[in-house]
Amino acid sequence: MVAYGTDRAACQMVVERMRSIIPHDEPAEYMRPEVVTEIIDVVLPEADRGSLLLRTVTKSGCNEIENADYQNVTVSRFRHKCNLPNPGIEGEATVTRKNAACGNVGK
Amino acid sequence: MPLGAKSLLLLVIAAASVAQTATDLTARYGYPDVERFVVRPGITMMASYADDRTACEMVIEPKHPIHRTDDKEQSMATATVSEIIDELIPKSERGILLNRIFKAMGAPQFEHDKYQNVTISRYFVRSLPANHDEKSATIIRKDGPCSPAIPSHESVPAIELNAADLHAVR
Repeated sequence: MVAYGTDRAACQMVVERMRSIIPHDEPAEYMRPEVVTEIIDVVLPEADRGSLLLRTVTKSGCNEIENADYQNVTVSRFRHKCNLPNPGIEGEATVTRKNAACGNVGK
Repeated sequence: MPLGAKSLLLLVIAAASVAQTATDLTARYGYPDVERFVVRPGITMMASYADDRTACEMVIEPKHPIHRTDDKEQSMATATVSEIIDELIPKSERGILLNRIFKAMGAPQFEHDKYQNVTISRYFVRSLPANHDEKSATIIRKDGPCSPAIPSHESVPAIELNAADLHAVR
């Protein structure tokens, strides 16, 4: 899912499994991390990210959130590693562009 | 490499390095299967489409970031939501009202109106200001391209047959 800025360019992109827009109580489904990496690299090539400022990984039990803060974007990825060796561990990934048109410069 | 081809290549590389627009993403992945529109100030409608681009599922809710946040304070005026529902699915397109279900568990209340062609569900939190306490509304079409491959018995209205009808079949 994509949200656009005032310049009509993508400001926030959420990569997630296909699901109905109607909320249902259904078990969470996960994606293969290599597929998510491939999608992120396509929608946001490394050359466009700027230099990496900070990378953090927050772990809580078998869940982890990785935040990579670049000059021009932030990439956030959630992984659920409770069912290893199941290869599908990635819940969702969010790419947020830092730009005045996105109203988040300096945040 | 000829100069023209080199210029074209440079143009493609330059275009690929700028931020993605809706046109870029559509060119790469095709038309979106889900879109969100601002239908009133502060109110959005998200639609998911069938293969022929018919809007089959629609969710009306207060505008929030695409990264869903459970903002307990956000709500919509009931009259405005009714107006939007009438715009999206006029009464004449709904078919016969088959069933109306009302569920209340303290402040949260659900209303489901099941018509021949569509189901309309509305969710209220009655502890919010009166007439401005609607949290979301969903419209699920069941007709035409939105009809499930195998219709459930609930979507097929029962027709009562009496003995005279059965004799007439013979």
